[in-house]
Amino acid sequence: MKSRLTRGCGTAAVLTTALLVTACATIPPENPQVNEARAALLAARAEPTVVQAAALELQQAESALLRAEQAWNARQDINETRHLAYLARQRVAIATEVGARHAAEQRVSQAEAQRERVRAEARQQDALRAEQRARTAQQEAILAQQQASVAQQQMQTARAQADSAAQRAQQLEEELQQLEAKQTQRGMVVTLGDVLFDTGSAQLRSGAVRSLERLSGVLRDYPERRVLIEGFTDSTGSASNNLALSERRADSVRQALISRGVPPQQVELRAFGQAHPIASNETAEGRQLNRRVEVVFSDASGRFALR
Amino acid sequence: MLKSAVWVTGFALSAVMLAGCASTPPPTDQMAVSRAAVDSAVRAGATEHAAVELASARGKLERAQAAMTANNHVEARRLAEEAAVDAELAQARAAAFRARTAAAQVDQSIRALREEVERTQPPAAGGAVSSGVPR
Repeated sequence: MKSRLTRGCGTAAVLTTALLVTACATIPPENPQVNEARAALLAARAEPTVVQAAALELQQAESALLRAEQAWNARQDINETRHLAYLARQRVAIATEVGARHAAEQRVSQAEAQRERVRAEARQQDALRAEQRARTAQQEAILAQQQASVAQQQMQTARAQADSAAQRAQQLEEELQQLEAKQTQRGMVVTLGDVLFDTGSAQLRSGAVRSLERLSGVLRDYPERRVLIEGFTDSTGSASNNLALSERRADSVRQALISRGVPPQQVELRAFGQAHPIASNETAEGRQLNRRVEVVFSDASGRFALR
Repeated sequence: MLKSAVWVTGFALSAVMLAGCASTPPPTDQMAVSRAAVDSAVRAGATEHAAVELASARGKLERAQAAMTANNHVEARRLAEEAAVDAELAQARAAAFRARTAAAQVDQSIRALREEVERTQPPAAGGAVSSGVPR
């Protein structure tokens, strides 16, 4: 009974509509709610995030909008059209919210990747700095090694120089030994005795030639060495005479060396007269010993030790 | 004269038919769907983050129930349908709000991470910082 009534209702509605349509024969005016809904849908379709993430919801909005348009175009049913347009607008709003949710979720998932990038970059920076430190340390090590090697070379050179200096000193000693030199606290000393001079004079005898030749040769071979020529006498006679004589004798030796090519700056002179006897002045032998000229050698840098 | 007669008849007929068509079935299925949609929206946090849309849905649901009781089934169906779509919108808004909040938190945590990294790392030893004394 109910279905027959429904069918009857439906048929009657169609007949009524047909009557009205044929009677009026006008184009239906636009419905503002439908237009609003369509405008909203178009705006949503223009948003890429909405189109990407809410395709289904947009489709549902589209269907609702079509139903609203049909309800208006076919029947001008104001209430139904308003209702369907409302549904369509709400569906558009839903699609927009889904788009917004999706965009936010994208940010979250991208953020994880971003966090990893920040961490990776920090690790990379640490690694770079560690590498730099290692390189610097390596460079410093190489530099230190080079410095050590240079220092070693310098030491070797110094040692070689010291060795050769020692050798040279040794050679000098050996040469001076031929002159019967003595090693004293003040250095090597060659003593030219009384016999080399004429009695009581500063005149060198011919017997002194050999010694003088040797001495001058040594001084020419070892220009770094200077000599201090010291003159002494015994205590016979006045002190002033003795001083003068000792000076003249020392000077004779000095002149003899210079005349054999020894530079004057290399030869110094000092007279002591009867001071600093080395033997007793009571005996003849002692007095002869005291009458002497001492040739004192400097060290390898030309310095003399004080008496 | 004929035209107006047709008009009157037409209107009279539609009034009778439409009154008769008030006996469309009650939209009980739709009501159930709409109630479920409201519950779903509440679970999604619509009470806090989409209160307006949720209130609209609930209000329409009540009016739909009243319309059903008054045997106005067409009105009841419409209200129920609108309640359902309002509830769906409330749910979508709540979900979007939560997602935006999460995204903001993540942005903040990344900013904090960047600051921490810059704090613990010494300034770059490149050419940007000028020192007076050449090495």
